[in-house]
Amino acid sequence: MSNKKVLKLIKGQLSPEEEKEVIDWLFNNPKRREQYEILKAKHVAASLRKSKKTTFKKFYRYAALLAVILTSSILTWHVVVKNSISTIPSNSLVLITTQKAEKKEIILEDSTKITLNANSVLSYPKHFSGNTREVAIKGEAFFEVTKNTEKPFIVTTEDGMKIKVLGTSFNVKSYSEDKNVETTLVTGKVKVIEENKNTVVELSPSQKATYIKKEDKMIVEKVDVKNFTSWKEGKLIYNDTPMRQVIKDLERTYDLKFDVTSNKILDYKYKGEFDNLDIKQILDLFEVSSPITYSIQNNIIRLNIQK
Amino acid sequence: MHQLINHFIKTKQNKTIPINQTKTKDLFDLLYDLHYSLLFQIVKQYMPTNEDAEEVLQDVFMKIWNNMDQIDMNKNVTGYLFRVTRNTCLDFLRSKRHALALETNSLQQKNLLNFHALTNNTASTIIENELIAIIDESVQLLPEKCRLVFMKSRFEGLKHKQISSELNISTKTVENHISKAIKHLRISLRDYLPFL
Repeated sequence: MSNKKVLKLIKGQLSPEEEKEVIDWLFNNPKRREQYEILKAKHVAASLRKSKKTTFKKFYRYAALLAVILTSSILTWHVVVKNSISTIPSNSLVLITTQKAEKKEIILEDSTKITLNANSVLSYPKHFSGNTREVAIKGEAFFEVTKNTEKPFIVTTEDGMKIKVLGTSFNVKSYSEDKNVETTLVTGKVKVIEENKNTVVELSPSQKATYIKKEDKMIVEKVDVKNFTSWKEGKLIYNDTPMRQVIKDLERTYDLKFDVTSNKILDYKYKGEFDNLDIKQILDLFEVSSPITYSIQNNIIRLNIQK
Repeated sequence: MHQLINHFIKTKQNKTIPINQTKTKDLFDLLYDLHYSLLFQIVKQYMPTNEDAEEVLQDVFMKIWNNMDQIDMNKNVTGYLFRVTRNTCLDFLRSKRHALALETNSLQQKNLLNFHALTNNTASTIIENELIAIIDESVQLLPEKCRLVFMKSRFEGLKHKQISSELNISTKTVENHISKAIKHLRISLRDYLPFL
């Protein structure tokens, strides 16, 4: 393998076939791969200096090209340039989604911070006009809302729940496949409004409102908030939580599938903490800390319970 | 992209922004202007596509914005930005989503190669040092008095009052120097700005 080829790989001048050949060769020669890494870094560092000149050249080339294409009026040119730099029209809706095994942090224009958990959707207007700040959520998110007493902040969930706040931090969990919608308050004050019957519950810090969809009723209880908010830091904490919920959380957090039919397992109340563990470690923990055992076949995890 | 971040942190036009918030925002804008295109130049050489590179940098500057209060301007800020960028790239290449999203095995191989290249500390240091040198040079190009004030304010974290008594100039002059410095830096770094 010639150095020339390695250099060409760095510069991106190889055909896909050649590229594959060189990469395979590098993986088989760790020493040479290390040299390649240093060489590439030097090339990248040098490109920083060059980018100064080339972008200029590129710009002129681009401008010339455009001038040729746009032999039309100045006005068109103006419009094209303007469009390329103009922002999205004001008050369009912004949609943020997360896949399984993914989290995102979002800052709204009022500096409200939202941490979006896996497999969720958040939508909000680009600008909060009018006298409320309304966002909608499917899935789970942790909100740290900037206080503004003139403009209450309202979170709407799919299942006819509204959470109204002035400035506070709280967690909302409203996955459509889950049995409940949960709102857990950390600081401040929130009003949880069930729109169907128009029930309003006001929460104090460390309280959790659980709306049971099937029974159409709301339960308020005092909880340890960290159990419901530590997912932000990659921790899952369970305190006598039914396995059906634990399994749902794991499927979303780790993007995998469980195959469990036995109610005995689904109803089993699990107690334990997964602090940034990988799935293998979690399954091993199940076996150590509960009568549940596991087996993996074709990427599907089966759970069994020892009699 | 910058507009996007601006959108996140934009405060209403008709409201006066408290002074410390203005300062944070100015500082963030400055960090952004100084580093964005250079970092983009680096990141795009390790990412599958330019869109991915943009996504990574969006994450990076969100992290920076969220940690503005913890950024110590006396320490090597450029180095810090580079390290955040490097880690964000590694997270990106590590995340299963991108491994699965890739259609061919050779793309995965390429990503893995880039992943290893980024974990190589010696290699990363080469890039980091060059980045720091370029940013430094831009600052060195400032008129002398202006640079002095700017460095004292931004990199030694002195208050305007302290600078004004130290250099025997009015606080108004201090402010003027700082805003002039920011303008200058923007112009000198404009060469790096991608035009598309």
